[in-house]
Amino acid sequence: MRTFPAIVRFRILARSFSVQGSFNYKTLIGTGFAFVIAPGVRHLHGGIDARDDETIARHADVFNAHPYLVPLAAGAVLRMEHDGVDPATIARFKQAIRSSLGSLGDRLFWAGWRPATALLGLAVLLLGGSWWAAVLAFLVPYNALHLWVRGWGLKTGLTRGLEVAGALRSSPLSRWADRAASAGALLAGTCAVLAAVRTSPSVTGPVIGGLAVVIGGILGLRVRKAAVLILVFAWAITAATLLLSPG
Amino acid sequence: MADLSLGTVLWVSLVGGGLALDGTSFGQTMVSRPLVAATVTGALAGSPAAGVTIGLVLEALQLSVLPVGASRTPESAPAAVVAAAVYATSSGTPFLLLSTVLFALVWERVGSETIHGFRYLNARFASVGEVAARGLERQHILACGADALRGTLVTATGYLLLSVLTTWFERRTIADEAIVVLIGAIVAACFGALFTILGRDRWRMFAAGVLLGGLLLAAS
Repeated sequence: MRTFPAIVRFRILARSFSVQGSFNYKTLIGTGFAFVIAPGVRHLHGGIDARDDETIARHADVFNAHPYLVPLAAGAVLRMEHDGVDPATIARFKQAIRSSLGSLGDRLFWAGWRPATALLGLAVLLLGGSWWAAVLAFLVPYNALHLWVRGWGLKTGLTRGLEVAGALRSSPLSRWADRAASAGALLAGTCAVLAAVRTSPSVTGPVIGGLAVVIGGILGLRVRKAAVLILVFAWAITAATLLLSPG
Repeated sequence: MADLSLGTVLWVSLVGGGLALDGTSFGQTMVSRPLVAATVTGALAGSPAAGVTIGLVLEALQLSVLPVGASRTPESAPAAVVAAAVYATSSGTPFLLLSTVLFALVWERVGSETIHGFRYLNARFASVGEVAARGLERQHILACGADALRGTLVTATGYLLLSVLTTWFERRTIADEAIVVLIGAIVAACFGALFTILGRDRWRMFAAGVLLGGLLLAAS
């Protein structure tokens, strides 16, 4: 870990925030990954351009991972480069770990923590809280975990190198993914009731809202498509009445 | 009609472009989500309540979108900024709300298609080889900058288009109350959908949430 001074680790971490900036269908985040590890590579080789170029170029090949877990992969790769692990082994490591980092990150954040914290913010709004309280209720807890995972990932990768898979298995991230989804389910139920009652002013609003919650539960992932179709239909009917109305 | 002065178009475009960066290229701190983008834009435009309305509806609709792998997902930030900026400076009729939300949903798809094209452009610059490595960092930074420009242009175009259309949408109709009930029902349905998306085996937690919601309503 101390092989890489704090300033180098900071640069790697800072660059990790832009890892998807050059996302493309050829190398996915490969180019971005090379961008992230470049400060570490330069530090390792003491600024010898030819070796820097060869190492950075090697790591610009196809790679993908959840963006928040890229520092973990970057740290592990840099540790292996430092330890002189042969390039073929490092390439196999990257190939092997990418699906774990992708699925764990997706479960923990996209399917767990993000909906949970967004629902917390929405619940604040539906309860009549101010807009800035809702925004903070969403962003603060979300980014607390987000930033912790980035920092933990880089530190773990640099410390464990090739053994990082074991660290991932013993980490609490998978457990947290389950808990985040459970918290999301709790807040989804809360928001469903609040929305059913609060978002429709008429007397029949809560009844219609309750029915809508049940229909939404049946539709699942198809709810957005169904909502768009209904909104288009409603818009077309309303627009037609406007066009046909006198005056 | 919304404000089409150069100053307004500029700030709306820059906010949309900056938040679009957070969507993928830089940050991913979720300030690009509709809940944040729309409410903050509404506040900047002088009507936080309008921003809250747009943010609530668009965020509820966005909850069922999961960006896994290289999937193409709707781009929320520019669309949310456009919708909130226009709605916040309007008379806020229900038909305008319906039209704005629909426009935002369409514009999310437009944004997504520009990102898709952008990724093909990035692939032309993605090279593996020693010569490429020297320019790799510069190319990556340029790609981030180009994405910011893309987001700014998508926002500017959307704002100009929706502003012009607002003149016709800003009307009272006989269906106003029905529209409000419908949009409220759709928001409720989106929350209900999470029962399935987050896992039906978590039904106890969902039910506990329903009870909690009832208690909070009774207490308020």
